Amino acid sequence: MSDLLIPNGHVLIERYVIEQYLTSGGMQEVYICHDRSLGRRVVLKTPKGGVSDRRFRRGAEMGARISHHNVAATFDYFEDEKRTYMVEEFINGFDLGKRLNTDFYFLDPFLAAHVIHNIARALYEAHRVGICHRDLKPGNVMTSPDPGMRFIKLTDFGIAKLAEAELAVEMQRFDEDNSTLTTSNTLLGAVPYMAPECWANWKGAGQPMDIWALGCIAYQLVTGETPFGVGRGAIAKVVFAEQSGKVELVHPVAFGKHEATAALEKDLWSLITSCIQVDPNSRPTAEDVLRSCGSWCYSTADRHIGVVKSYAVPYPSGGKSKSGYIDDLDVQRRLFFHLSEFFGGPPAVGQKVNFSLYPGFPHSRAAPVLKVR
Amino acid sequence: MLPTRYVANQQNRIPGGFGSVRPVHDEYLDRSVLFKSMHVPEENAQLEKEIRGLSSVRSRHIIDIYDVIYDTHGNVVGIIIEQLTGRDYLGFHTEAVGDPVKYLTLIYQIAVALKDLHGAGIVHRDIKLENMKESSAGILKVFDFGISCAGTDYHTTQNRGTLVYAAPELYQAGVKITPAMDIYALGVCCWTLASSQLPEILLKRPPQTSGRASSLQSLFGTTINPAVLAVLDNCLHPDPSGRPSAVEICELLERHLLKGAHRGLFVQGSETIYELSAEKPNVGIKIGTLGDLRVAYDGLSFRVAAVSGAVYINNVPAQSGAILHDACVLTYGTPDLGSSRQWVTFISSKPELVL
Repeated sequence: MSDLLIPNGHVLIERYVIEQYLTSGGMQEVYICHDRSLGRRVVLKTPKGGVSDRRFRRGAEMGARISHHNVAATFDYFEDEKRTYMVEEFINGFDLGKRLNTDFYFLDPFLAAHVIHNIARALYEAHRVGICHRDLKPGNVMTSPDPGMRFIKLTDFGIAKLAEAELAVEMQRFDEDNSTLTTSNTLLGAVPYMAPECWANWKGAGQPMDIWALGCIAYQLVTGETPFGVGRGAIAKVVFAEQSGKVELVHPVAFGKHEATAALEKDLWSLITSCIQVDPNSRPTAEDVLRSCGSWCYSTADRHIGVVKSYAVPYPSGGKSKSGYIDDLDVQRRLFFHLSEFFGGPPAVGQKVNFSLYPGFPHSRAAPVLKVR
Repeated sequence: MLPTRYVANQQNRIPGGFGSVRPVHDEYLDRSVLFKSMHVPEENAQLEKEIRGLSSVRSRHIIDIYDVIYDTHGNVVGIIIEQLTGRDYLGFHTEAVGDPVKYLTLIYQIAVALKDLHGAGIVHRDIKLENMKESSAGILKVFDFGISCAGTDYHTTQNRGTLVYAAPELYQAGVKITPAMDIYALGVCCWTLASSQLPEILLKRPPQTSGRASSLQSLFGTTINPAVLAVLDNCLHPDPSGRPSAVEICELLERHLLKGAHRGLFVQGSETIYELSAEKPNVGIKIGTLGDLRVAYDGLSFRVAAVSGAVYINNVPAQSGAILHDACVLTYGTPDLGSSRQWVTFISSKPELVL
């Protein structure tokens, strides 16, 4: 990289002290800072390579228009001679993309519903004040670090604005030369969630493109895969869908196996298929989506992490049980679980699991139980 | 005095007790914010408290603070805070009785703000309707931390809160500031949100020396669950230890705001054999000659209405009146029957309260 990172301890506009370089996801550098004025930790974002860009500011202004706890708060914006910067609330946690890579294969319906519902609330708020995110993807959804991802916040409207411009250029290049796809990280990251109308007319695509992206995220949460795959294959599938006018999605393999979540699975599938529609006008609005999510019934009990200690214990009379035990990893306790509440099965000793627990005798009961990484 | 990024609007100052608030436009982020300053520099200690109170705890129901304004000597002379553009609640009392759900949602949001504050060791000390407003997103947010205090050992020398919201113990000299004082003020909000007239006994100084205020039930009748009203009434308990905590109020209201929205599913093998809901609140599940269990949903919980034969809930014999927890296993048949027993799983779910 030609430009060096901002060093720790460096103070910007006599207010923000760089504490730690966090990451450079795609197009921006992210730093954790200490705000001297308010004595609190904040996050500083600046476009990579010291770009001084009007569009980044426009993005910061957009983020600043939204005031809701499901959207990362925009605290400040400033420029110096070389660069532009945005200050956002510090969120302790990880983005959903990272969670899906390192923690989860996929989410059980309860957990998926909770995440989707909260993203929908954020999207409703953005759309209500006339903002289209345009780069909605798991990487832009922050989750609290607990196993149940209690707190969900949408972030990066600012960089989305910058991405929008770069994406427009990239898509033009891709049109001219299909090999571009493999060289543009921005485009690669966005492709799995990009609505078909974006390829035909990027600038003309509006809020429905966020709804398509939400549908793709929801699909990924319940299956562990993006609906159209990734890379060039994904573009081909989406373009084919656009030409034929219809979408063919593979029904989640995990669905239809648990009676307790059967109704919720229907609700989730109904949402996914309504959002992933070729015609942008056929998709529900953010308000419609939020209203649907508000009608779903699911449990949001605390989640814990454990390990399967035993399963399918043989009976003296022959045959095996369909139940087993889990050892909690944080608290010394053993929990009973039954196959009918296990997601990601079949269960096996040593598997790491994410579960809620309920009173039981002689052991507390774990339900649902989700196999995790 | 204000940095050039903040440009004064045409709008006038909004004077308050000790300082004033003026809308300004933040040119850098193209948004309207509020500039708060004190009338006299001697009062700037209040600004320091605002800064500490607002920046040490982030809560979805407390306004955001963005910036601190200094004079040339480095003294704090003002702060920049979030502007709330939604409605205020001063006139809500005309709507409360007709909309008990919204009323409870407002109380709930104040309680969450207090839960977050008290959890961070901060007492607001000036909870009143004038210090809360709705954001454009429809979320209630509390502001004005000018007389808030942090830490556990603060004794007041002077009561600076608004009198009618002041807990009775504040009338004693040198009393220690506790979160229960905020709860008392919340109890008064329960009245000012619902009625233009406070009970006489609350207007006395100190309040309630001759007895307790009447119950909120006189306003709401049966439209709000008596158990909820009893807890809200207890916010005004003359003895601070008799008042509920913010956490208790939050948990109670969360349950009641979802009243009637639960679904209770009984699953045997891979089939749903019954679903309880507000529309179908009663069920009797009889399995052969093993046992019969009747369960009723009252809007808040699922309870055993009657039991006959051998029915166990989580391996404990079922008893009338027992609550079915969110997920449990019903076993029909005595243990000696071994694998001839029948199992039914019960699982309850509800919508998530997403404000």
